[in-house]
Amino acid sequence: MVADIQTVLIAIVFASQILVLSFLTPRLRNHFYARMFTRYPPQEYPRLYPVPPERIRRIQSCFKPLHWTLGLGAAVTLGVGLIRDMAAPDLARWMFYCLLLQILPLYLALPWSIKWAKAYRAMPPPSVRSAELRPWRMVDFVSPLRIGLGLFGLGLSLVCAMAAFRHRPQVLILCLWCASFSSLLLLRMIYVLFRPTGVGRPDPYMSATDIFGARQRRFRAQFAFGAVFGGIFSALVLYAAQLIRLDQAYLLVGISIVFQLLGIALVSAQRRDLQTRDFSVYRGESAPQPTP
Amino acid sequence: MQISIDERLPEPVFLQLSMQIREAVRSGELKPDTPLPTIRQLAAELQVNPNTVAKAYRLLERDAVIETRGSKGSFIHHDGRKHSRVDLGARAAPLLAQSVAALRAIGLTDSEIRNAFASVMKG
Repeated sequence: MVADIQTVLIAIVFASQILVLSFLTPRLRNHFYARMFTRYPPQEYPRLYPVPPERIRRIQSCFKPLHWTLGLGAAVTLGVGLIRDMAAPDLARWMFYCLLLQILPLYLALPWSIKWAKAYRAMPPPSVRSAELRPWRMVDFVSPLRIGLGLFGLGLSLVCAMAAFRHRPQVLILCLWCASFSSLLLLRMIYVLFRPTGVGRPDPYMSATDIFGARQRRFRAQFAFGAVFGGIFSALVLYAAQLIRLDQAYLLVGISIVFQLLGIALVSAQRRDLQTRDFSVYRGESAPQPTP
Repeated sequence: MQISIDERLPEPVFLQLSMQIREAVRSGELKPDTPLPTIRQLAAELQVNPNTVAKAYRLLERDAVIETRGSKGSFIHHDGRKHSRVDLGARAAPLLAQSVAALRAIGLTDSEIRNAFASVMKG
């Protein structure tokens, strides 16, 4: 059995995908919560936990076996693929199917994350509140280049979807899917472009500096997301319509790498947040004050 | 410039807002033609009803401390500093005090004066 370079590359990316998405990022996320509970105990920082910590722990423990099962399943798939000397495009396809399954916990956790964000926003605001008296514009948070790239990426994917459909009407469903997803993202971007503070405060207690930081991260991610996914969608529809020639295996390797980087970026942002954010604003009224 | 509100204070929130902006204009912290956030934006930031901010802005606009330039938004009036020293609301107190004293002099009770004032306001 002599593996070619393409197969070796796919095997490496597949292995790192299993490691990153099913083991590393869930572990880092669990560490984040454990550290948060230790550093900012719920008794002292009640405003940090609009959702009871026991519930957070319970949900975290529910996801652990799911990640493990999906990770081990993907590892078995990789092992079987290598033992059976699977062709590189087939192995890449299996890697992609495993990727779709490995991100399943993210979808499952989405309603819960939305509920948590809503609980944060629904907390009664403090009696004393302050804000900066200035009109905010998107360029205060994100550079014009990033804004341009985000809009360009999504605009490009819309144009590519139309061109692909004109060239090959059989790819209608893929074009429709890409066009509708891109349009939704584009509309959202145009909305935040004109109303950067329309997204509201993440929670009523967050300090002004942290609110600025949170908004900046959010908008930066949104525009980067638009640029990256606009590029992926464009390549996908053009490839499906046979307007460009791409090695499918490399396309799937690229998608896998993007998702891995995204996962790492998300947990890194959480960890950074824990180190840099001002958590003193979440202390309860009756909590003992820290000694200087 | 930071603007803050305290719901525990006896002054209504719109008055706290207008007083702070007026004070900042008077001290020169807010220069003429400085743009102000939109009503919705400031209301969202301070987590108050947009009507509260609108009321504060109306009050400042009436006193020519700020001005609204169509769809461009609200700005500090070019003569805002001068106008911020004039408190139209404060002029009401001595006039009312004179009227109340005159009404008391002709024998009206306080509750009769209050009723008369309320009916005139409803007018």
